Order: sequence, then structure tokens, then C-alpha cells
Amino acid sequence: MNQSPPPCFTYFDMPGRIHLALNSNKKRKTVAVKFSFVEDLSEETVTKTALVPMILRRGTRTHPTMQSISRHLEGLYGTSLATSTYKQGEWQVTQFRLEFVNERFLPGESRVFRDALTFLREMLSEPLEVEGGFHDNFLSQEKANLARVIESLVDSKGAYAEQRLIEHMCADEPYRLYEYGRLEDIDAIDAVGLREFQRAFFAGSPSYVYVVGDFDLDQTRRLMESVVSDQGLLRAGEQRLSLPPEPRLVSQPKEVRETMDVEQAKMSLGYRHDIGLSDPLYEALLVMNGILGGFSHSKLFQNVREKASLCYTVRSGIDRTKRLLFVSCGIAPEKYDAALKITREQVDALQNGEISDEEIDSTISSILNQNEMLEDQPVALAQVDFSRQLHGLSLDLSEFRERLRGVTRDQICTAAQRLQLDTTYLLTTPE
Amino acid sequence: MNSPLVPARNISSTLQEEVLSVVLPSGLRVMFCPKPGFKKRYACYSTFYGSVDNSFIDHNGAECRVPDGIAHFLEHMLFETEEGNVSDLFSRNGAYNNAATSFTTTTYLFASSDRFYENLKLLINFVEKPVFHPDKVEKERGIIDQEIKGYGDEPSWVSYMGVLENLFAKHPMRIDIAGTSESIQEIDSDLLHRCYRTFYSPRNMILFVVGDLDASELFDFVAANSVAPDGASVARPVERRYPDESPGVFRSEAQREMAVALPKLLVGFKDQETPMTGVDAVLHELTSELALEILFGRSSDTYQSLYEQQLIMDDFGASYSQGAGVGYAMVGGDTPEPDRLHDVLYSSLNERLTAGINAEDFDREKRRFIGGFIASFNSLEYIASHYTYYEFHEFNLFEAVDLLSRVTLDSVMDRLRSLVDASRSTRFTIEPRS
Repeated sequence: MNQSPPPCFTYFDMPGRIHLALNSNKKRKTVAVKFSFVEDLSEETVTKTALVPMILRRGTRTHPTMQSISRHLEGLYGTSLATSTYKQGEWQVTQFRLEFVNERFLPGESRVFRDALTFLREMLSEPLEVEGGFHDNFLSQEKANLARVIESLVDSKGAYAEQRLIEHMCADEPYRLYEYGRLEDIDAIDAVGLREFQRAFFAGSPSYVYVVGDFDLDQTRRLMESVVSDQGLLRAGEQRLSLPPEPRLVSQPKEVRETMDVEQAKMSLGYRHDIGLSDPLYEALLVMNGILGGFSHSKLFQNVREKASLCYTVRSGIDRTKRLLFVSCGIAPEKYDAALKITREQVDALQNGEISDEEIDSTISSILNQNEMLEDQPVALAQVDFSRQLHGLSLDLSEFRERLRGVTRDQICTAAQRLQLDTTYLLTTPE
Repeated sequence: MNSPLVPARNISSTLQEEVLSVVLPSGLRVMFCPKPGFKKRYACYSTFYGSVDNSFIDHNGAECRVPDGIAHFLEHMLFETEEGNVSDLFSRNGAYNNAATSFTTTTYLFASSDRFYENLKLLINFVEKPVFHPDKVEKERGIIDQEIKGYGDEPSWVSYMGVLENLFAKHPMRIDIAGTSESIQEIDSDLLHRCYRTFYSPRNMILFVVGDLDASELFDFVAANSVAPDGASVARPVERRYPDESPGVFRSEAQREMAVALPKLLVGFKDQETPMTGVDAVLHELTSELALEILFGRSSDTYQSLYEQQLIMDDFGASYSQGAGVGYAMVGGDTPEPDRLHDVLYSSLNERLTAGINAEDFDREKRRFIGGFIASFNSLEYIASHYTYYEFHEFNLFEAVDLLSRVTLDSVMDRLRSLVDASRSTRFTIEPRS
């Protein structure tokens, strides 16, 4: 086996307090550059924040239409531009990612890297501006698009059921907010106000840039610095993010049932726990979640699907920052009681320590395998590193693997005992 | 080994990749793409058998018409081995495994960083030695029924199948890959066995491996562990029967109401000529994709104008697919006004057919294709699945990028005129249920 140390990032602080992380890796045929901005998730900002990447894609100073942006990027050998908005705990993250072919594979080409970066910088710092605001027509189109995005969450039944669960479960916490915001906020947003909001957001938010690909570190750092300082991304300083939310105790478990004309019912369970990323039980939490519903050997898959034949998909997952655990499952509406009973029995079993050596071994080696294969995927690895940076933690794959190997049955059982069922949600057919 | 296997080498200087391959005495093709330094090792074992193969001459020479969804059902059943569900066995080794059935192929795969050969042996064994216990068939029926029901709530899949049902009168491309809740009731162990014997013969299969491995060790291992069924080397070639499909569409429109917020419009075009295999087939596919992208892609006038009129959203796009002797294009996405989108789409189509394509758009699209093709080789899964797919269709994936030099502006324009023909088009609409 290849025992070279796992890859990591080299960090630099660039002008304007931009945190730069580089990972040079021969495995990749492309170079990916990702800018992330982060702020606290709140009612006041969630909708405007979701609109920012949508309006920035509509035009820049030198590429004033979406069509000219597309043509420019296509000409750069199909450079891809992706933007996203998501929440990590009660933070809202906005990302801009550009990925282009390494010039090594394009004989005679030497400008793709610089041109792509220059475009990204321009999109972030010199968007198309009309009288101090964004383009009015473009904005009204994007407002309409955002409304459709929010409304059409219902088109994807699984995602809809999970969001509804969260809204019931975290009714008075910022976490309830959908990352694309609220319909009722959209109307009031205007072109000048949004431009001011975006300027202040980019100027004050912690800002991270990851560059991964096959390149010379120093050369790339200099290129990044020259591109960023040119027409600088004006940054006043960095606002502090709130600390990860404190865990809550469940006083009274809730059960919610909603109806819709669907072929398949969706059952979602939300649990709270109090095990954060630096908790000594963190690795045990990951193993516990894996035994419950992370893999095909997991208790839920084995019992709800394989033994009872009740579903095709069933899984569990965790939000590490908000400290929640979710179970979701698609079932025939009349099988709800049976599926819920078997699901709860699996959590009970974990809490009672009914965990076989084989379950533990399979889960630990499955997580280890995933973790090792992450080394081939620098973009995904960057995402893991970034999510830890937000907690003020660094990424040490070797240490993580060692801790994971040391997880015991008692620790798994203790982690399971820290789960509290908060809300059981069912989306089903009308009676 | 008494006679060392000497692999054939296929090298691409553009991609800086190579693939080594051998053919075992059983007829099984084994292919390997070395990836030095990678932790992940990935293997997929595929058969050139998918949901469209529902009418054929079986391994005994008898005519067969089997229930819809059987190729997919068979995929599920192969996971049930004498030692238990094979996913558990992979999990014990820390490996991820899965399988997928498409219209034309079925693939079993795993990925792992550790214990590669144990996992490879598992893969070979479970694909080559199936058991079809009747009680397991019953159990799997319930699971597959929920899989079908889940797809039934997904507007993208419903509209995709809706267009195919409209386009084809008889061709099995109109049948859902998983079948229906009713059709899967007719499937039993005998039928499963019959399909298995016919389509899972080594000559109809490819084992593709990617990762940091020693080539000769890999080939020797497969040769020692792959067990050919009796008479495999003299097995009759697979003979598939596809019905005669008329050139016109089966139905020009249909619609469904679903619990969605936004309507969806998908327009389909039935292709008139589709070469089955080889360079011709890939050139045809490539030219069609370029033509559609120039016409409907993000940088096109059509996209820009539809977007500005608020008739489309980010998900709007066009695609071309071919297989089993038929081909089709699809264009569409979410829209607040399906009827207006349909009309504007057609008028802009006609404008473009009259005005033609300009050289600048054509060249830019070619550059985009080159970049996209190189970028897709970041993915081990892409390399394995696409190399296999094209190998089944008698084409070398590495040559796709060179084929691009044979695509001319005129050939794209000709392709466009023949493919995007209103008289062979259909529409499928999803409307929100009131």
C-alpha cells in the first residue's frame, strides 16, 4: 500500500483578508477555483443572499449579458461556472466555482488560467451596474426565478418533506429557513438596495478561496494575488460569525402529518444531539450514524428494506454544525405505522448497545474507505476543509483515521443515547 | 498461468491516458485503465443487455417475449447470493457497491481503496453465479414496487418517459426501465434464469477496471477467477428482436397532472436515421449533440431570448440519445407557460433553420466540446462506463475527440434539418394539479 502522507492544503493570507488555500495534485485534468462567502443565517438576509449569485451571473462590466458571459466561458474551452447557496448549521454559505481545463492538455494555450480567474474576479467585484444598482430588468427576472425556485421545492418530494420537517422541528430557530429564502421578502428587493447589500456582504464576510489542480504553488499564489488586487475585491475587514448554535433539549416530541396527491409517502424523523466536531464522541457519532443508516449493511437498510420489503430508499444523515440527525424513507402510505415502528426499533437497539462486531467493523472500514478515496477528489476535500475552517478547526486526515479506528461499542452506544427524537413528519396521500 | 496474456494497448496522447485489454478464452473482454497514485480503485462488470431487450432468441434457440422491467429485476436479484446480500459482503471490506440498468446495458460496480482483489473476486462471483430463490424474488418485488412509485412522483422522469411513449408506437424504448407495478408481478425465477442465460454470456460482457494496479497481476487474477459457463465459447451470439417502428411519431402530444408548483414542457424529435455501431454511430451522435447545443445551449440566441421572456429556467436544455436502432432529441424544462414556450421554441427553430449557423458559433462549440471531453476524464467512473458503452458499440472512446475534426459546419446544418423536424416531433406537458 502507498503510505505517503495524506494531502493537505497550503494556506496563504491574501490582500483584503482573503484566505487562500492551494492543493496541487497531479491527478486532475482541470483546475477548480472556488470563492466562498459566509454569513449568519437570518430572516433579514437569507432571501437577498440567495439572489446575489443569481444576479451576478447576469452580467459584468465587460460581459454585460448572460449570453456574452456564456460565450466567453465556452471560448475558454468550456470553462464551467457554478454558483450555490446552502446552509451549514445556522450559517449561510454562498459559493462561486469556476473549473477549466489545465493548459497542459491544450497545446499552444497559455491564457486560460489567467483569463478564467480574471473573469471570476470581475464577476465578484465589477458586476454590470446601472445608476448605482443592478440592471433593473435583469433583477426583476431573477426575482421571478427565485420565487419559482422557492415554490418548486415541492416538485421534489423527498427534499420537500425534509424541509417541512425542519420547519416544524426548528420553528423558532434560524435553522428553519430554507436556503433560498422566503417568498414574502422578494417583492421589496430593489436594484440599488441589493447592490449595496452585495457590496457590504462581500466586503465584510469571511472569504475563502480554494484552488485545486496541477500547478506550481508559488506561481499560482502570485497569479491569485495579482488578479485579486487588480480592481480589488474591496474588503473592509472581517465580521465574526456567530458560534455554532447551542444544542437544545427536546421537551415534547411532535408528530406532524401533511397530505398531498403523491404515489409514495415520505417519512422523515428529526433527532437532536449535542455532539459537536470537537467532542470526544464525534467519531463515535459518525460510526453510530453509519450503523443506523449510512450504508447498505446499516440497520435501517437491513430491516426496513431487506427484511420487511417496505421501501427502496432509507437512510440517515447528520448536520454536524447544528447537531441534528435525520432519517428519511419512501414508503407506501398504508405502511407508515410499520415503517415507523421498525425505524424506532433500530434507534432503540443502538441505544441498548445491540451492535455487532461486524456492524462496527463494516462501518469503520466503509468510512475509512470513503475518507481515503477523498484524496483523489481535491474539490470534495476542499469542501471538507472549508467546513472545518468555519469551526476554527483544521483538517488532519491521519489523525481522523486513527481516532475513527479507536471507536468502541460503548462510545457508539453512548452517542446513540444522546439522540432525542424531536419530530416525526409524514407526507402522505389524503385519507 | 501457462500462457501469459498479452494485452492490446490503446493510447491517447491528447488525454494522456491508456487502456490495456485482453480477451479471455471464454470471450470475456477485460479492460484496464492505469491510474498511478490514485487511492480509489474502481471496477464495473457490464452486460450489453438493458430494458429494451424484451424480445429475443434465448440460449436454447427459442423465441422469447419477456415481461417489462425484467432486466432491472434481474439486476436486483443478482445481489442475493448464497452467502447473503452481496452489498453486506462489500461493506465488510469497506467497499462501496452499486448497480444500474439502462435501456441498453446493465452494470455492477464497486469502488474501494483497500482489499481490491477480495472485492474484485466478490464482483466476479456474484455476477457469474446467480441464485434465484422464489422467496427472494417475492421480497424484491415489494422493494422494486416502491422504486417505481418513487419515480412516479418525479416530474423529470415522468416527462422523459412521457416523451418516449409519445415518440414510439412499438419500440421498447417507450417502456419504463423498471417496468410497472403490474408487469413486475409476472416475473418469476424461471424467466429471470432464462434472461440471465441468454444475456450474461461472457461474449456479451466487459469487465473494466481503473486504478493504481499492476496490469499483468490484474489480468491473471481475472483469468483465474472468472468461470465461464459450459459452452460459453461456442454460445450463439445474442439475437435481439426489435419491432418495425414507423418513421412518424406515435402521438403528437400528451399531458399529465402532478402535485408540482411549476409546469414542465418537454419536446421530443424522432430521428430518422440512426446507425447502430462504430464510427458512423458516434459521429452521428456527436454531430447531433453539437447541433442541439448550438441551437439551444446557454450561449444561443434562442436560450437568451427565452430566458429574457421568462419562459425558461436554469434547467432548460437539449439532449440527444440513440440506442437499439432508434434516436431522439429532447428539448425543454420547467416553464410557467408551456404553450407559449412551445410556440416560441418552434418559431425560433424555424428562424435558425432558415438563417443557418455561423462559423463563430460552430468553432466555439467545438472548443467547448474539447474542454468538456478532457474534463470528464477526471472521473474514474466516467472512464469505465463510457469506455465500456462505446466498446459495446464497436467504438474506441479515445477517438471521439479526433472525430470532431470530421464534423463540418455543413454536416451540422444537415443534421439539424433532418433531426429537428416539426412533423416528427411531440410534446409532453406536466401541469400542476389544481
